[in-house]
Amino acid sequence: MLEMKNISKVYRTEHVETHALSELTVTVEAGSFVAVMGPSGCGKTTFLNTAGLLDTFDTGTYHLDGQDVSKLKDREMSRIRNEKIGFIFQTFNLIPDLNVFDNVDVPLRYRGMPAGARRQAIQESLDIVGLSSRLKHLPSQLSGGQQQRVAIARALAGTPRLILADEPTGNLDSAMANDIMDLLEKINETGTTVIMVTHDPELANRAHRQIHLLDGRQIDLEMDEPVPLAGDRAATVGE
Amino acid sequence: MEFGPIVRSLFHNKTRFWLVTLEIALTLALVINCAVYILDMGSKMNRDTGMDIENILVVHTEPVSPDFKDETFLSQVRDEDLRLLAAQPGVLSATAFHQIPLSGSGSSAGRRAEGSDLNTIVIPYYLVTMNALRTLGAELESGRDLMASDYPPAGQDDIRDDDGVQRFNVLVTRSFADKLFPDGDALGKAVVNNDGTSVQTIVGIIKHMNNSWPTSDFGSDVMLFPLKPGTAERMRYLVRTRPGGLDALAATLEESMLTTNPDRIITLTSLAEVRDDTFSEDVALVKIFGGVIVLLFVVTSLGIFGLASFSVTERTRQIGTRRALGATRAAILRYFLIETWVITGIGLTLGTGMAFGLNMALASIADSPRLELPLLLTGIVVFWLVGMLAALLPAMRAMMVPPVLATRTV
Repeated sequence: MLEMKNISKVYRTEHVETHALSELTVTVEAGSFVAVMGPSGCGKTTFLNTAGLLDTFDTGTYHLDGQDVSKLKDREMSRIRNEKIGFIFQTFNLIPDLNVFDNVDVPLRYRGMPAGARRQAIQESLDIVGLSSRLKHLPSQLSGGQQQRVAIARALAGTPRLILADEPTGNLDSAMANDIMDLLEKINETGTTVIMVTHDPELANRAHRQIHLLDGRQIDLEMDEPVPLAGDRAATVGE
Repeated sequence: MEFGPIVRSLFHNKTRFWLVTLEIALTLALVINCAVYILDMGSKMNRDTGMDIENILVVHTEPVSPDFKDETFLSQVRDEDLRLLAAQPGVLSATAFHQIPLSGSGSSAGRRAEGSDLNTIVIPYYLVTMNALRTLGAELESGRDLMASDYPPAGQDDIRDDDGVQRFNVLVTRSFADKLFPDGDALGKAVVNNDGTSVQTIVGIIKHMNNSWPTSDFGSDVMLFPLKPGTAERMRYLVRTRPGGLDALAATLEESMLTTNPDRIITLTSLAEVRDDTFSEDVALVKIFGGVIVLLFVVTSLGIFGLASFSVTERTRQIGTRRALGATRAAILRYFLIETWVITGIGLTLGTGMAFGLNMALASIADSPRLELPLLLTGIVVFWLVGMLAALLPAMRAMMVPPVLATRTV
């Protein structure tokens, strides 16, 4: 599903260079549920941004769903984000002026789907997250857990091949967090690949596999150092 | 297109939305009504006067000698002046007028068709010596010009019949003739004052000329009276030169006239300057209204620009999220332009009603011209374009927001 080779990303200011990703090589199989872990500043979000085509990288190659996305134009990356990737954000990122229905509708409109098909997709995805009775509610009228469910419905509505979740339970209490994890597992069971960034080892343990990052590289937890990789430094992403 | 979500989103920010919408509506109403006034005044000022005003010199004389109180002396000076003026090089014709057309100052009387029961109509009139039409450069449409026999005999200042009714032959403009004789057969007919003590027979119809109030509703109504003008206080002449001869005449005329009779103050000006002076307040108002229009456009454009800029800044993260969800840059640009389009559209819809309302209110209190639909439509199109231009820069800024902002937590 996702194959990154020697991906590097450097943020430069006038005096400082920050290596957010250093020749990172990662492979994620289609249909898997992967947790990405690591301390703050280790490159988790940069990895997620790169994986989701939200940001570009400096060197390396990236194949998503078999397609080389290393040098796509902005418009093509928008199309892939819209059609193949569903995003779930830590702070939900719902549009406050739009009700639940319209929020879920946002990516579908960008896809140019006809109104009837959009309505059906919205209804089905809200059924999955259990919020089909809240169509007309504004985000401010919902709890944090409900807002994240709406965000998940929005990610699901376009039937993506890949779900990228950036600390999806970071702003929720443990009960709500468990609900959200249940939902992600349920989504993954349908064949959708899920990559989740999290700080919480307990939640990470519910994933099939874990990637641990430190200083922009994948590390072996027992050695607590960058994994010495042969050849192209291909990382073994395993359980 | 995202009309539905955009409109619903706008209504969740009611205060900001309505403030700008009302600003647009008010601006349209004011701009359109200013434009109505400007266009109306412009058309009136540019209207054909029916006279050769560029080549007519206006000669004011103010006698300072008591001799002018003597009617015989006054008449003698007038005749001498007219002979002198007509003899000047380049002069086509000279006539004494008791008031000056286009000057904003004149005389008027009430007249109705003889035998009619209708109320009298106001008619500006001029007491003139011979050759008035030639001097004005006005065209006689039908009938004849005034002749010497139309004037009171020497020594008389009036013509009355045995019943004491004043009777004169006169010239009137087509505009006035049509008002009193709508069937178009005014020539040879008579007009009378309210009590029937003054009767004038129309012997000639002037195709067109303006009176002293050219922008008024009756600006083309004129009656020329065969009565020699002039008083001990003032005497006025119009002198028409060949094209381009006005300045040369003005340079020497005062001296020539003072040689004939030095006991007076002579002032020279062209009829075109008289007209410009009469219009000066209107021109100033047109400039002020034009300035108001520009100012309102600038202020409202800044309002739209400010709203769009604030909207983009406030929603930067939201734009990043939309980009993350698949919005192209073009889609973001389109979103903000549509939003402005909707705001401007609602504002202009309200403004249309307000423009008509204001126009009717002004018409009822100040007799202002009516608002015409083409002008309103032009205003709406211009406003819409200005609104979209004002929103373009912020929308382009929004377009450049990267999708990675969606995952930034600060």
